Amino acid sequence: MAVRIGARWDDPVQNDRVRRAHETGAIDYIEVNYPVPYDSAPHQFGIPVLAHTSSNPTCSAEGINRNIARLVRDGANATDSPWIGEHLSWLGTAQTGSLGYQINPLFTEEFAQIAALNVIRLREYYKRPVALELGPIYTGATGFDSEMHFLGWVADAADTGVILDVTHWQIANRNLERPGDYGLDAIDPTRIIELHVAGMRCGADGRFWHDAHELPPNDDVLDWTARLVRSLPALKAVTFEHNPAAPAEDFFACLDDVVRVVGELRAA
Amino acid sequence: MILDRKAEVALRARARKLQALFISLLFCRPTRQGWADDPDAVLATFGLEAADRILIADITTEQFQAEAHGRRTVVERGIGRCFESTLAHLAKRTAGPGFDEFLCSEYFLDPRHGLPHRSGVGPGYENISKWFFWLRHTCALDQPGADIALRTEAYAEFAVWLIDEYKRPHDPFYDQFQGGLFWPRSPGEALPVMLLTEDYKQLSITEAKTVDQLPAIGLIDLDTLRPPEYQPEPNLT
Repeated sequence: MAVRIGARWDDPVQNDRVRRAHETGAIDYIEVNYPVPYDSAPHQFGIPVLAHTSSNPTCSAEGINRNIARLVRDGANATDSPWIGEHLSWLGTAQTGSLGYQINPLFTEEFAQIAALNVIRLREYYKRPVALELGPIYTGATGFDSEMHFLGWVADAADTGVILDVTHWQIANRNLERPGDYGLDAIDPTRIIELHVAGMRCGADGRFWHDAHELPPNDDVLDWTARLVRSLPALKAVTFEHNPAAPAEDFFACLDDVVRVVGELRAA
Repeated sequence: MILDRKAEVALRARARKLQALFISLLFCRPTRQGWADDPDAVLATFGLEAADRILIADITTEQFQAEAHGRRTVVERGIGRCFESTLAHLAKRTAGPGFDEFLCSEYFLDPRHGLPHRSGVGPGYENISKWFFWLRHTCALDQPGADIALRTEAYAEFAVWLIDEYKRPHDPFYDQFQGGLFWPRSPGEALPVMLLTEDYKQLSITEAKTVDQLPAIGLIDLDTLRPPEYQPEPNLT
């Protein structure tokens, strides 16, 4: 399976670095997080785009805000994205808005059904495939064996792809004191079409791990990426996520690491 | 996956209650305290049954506490970056509203208490304006008798944020902040008037005829700024 390598794009300050990375062959695409900032047009670089969003609360009982869905759909249509990445999350309790970073839902039967219904509606609205991703986990599931089992169930019920965020997965396993490989067997491997790779950090308490896009991916994350690239039968993309405010030289050094671990499986 | 419409409506109604409760447990300390004292009473407050307790994660675990702490910190840090002087002033007061009251309030939870996000996605996607409107309401900063020092700090820092938003690519809502904003130093008193220009110069205007010109040149009075009426389209459900 040939795998493409990409970099997440959130902000126009990243324009120069992603252009350079594409020109030098380090990346094949950018993963644009829609809705994009006003007046920005990342698709105009001529770099292929994979559409993503963290703004749809796919697990919310309130459903999906149509304005956000429209902005995501229009971005994906303008770039002919092969699929749209979505997070299994809440953003609050209202019909719109966000109380902060992605809020993990209760991993129960109710919210698995809600998520499947919401994602099916989104997919019909987009007229394009959807791939689902989990955030970093701190609190254990109450209605499933784990959040990975929840993800596997929703992906099967809504017939979607899966984005395995290697960093979030490893954060969850550390925070919940599980083995590093825990949960992988809860997901149909033929559904995993993309990996996300980023940095992580241990908090000041010395106990809990957090997403840290300003840091390079650690050895565990890179080792897992190398193994998964070689074992997942349907994998098509590996996306490196890096904080737009972090130094450009770090971005390029980390991309070199990702290119190295993908190795000979990189798409020509 | 097939679910008839009636079953889906019932599923969403029940899930809405579970979602409201768990988010309140994550952000609102009084809800957590109530849960620790009498979970069945909290479940009843949210329209849930005692049997639903097994669906709610154990909030006494260090995992839950880490998550709740992190979520609060993200909100607090964002507001703290904008309102540093205001928060320092609030910290000196012996009485008054605390951050917990904000996190438990409709001002935090309901996006209609916030301004449209400059990116064009609608209201409720940032907490700065929600916190300002909550503080103005809770401390009656727009009423005669307001704490003038607190009002001055909060209005000046919020005005800087509004101009920052205007200067970045923005939703047309923020066009109204071109040139700057003004507010009477004391509510109910015509003079002096504080003006923050688009170049971040803060001026005190003491001449009535100059103040009269401010609306005419398109500047708005921060006391009159409210979240606009918002009529969202029906969600995809």
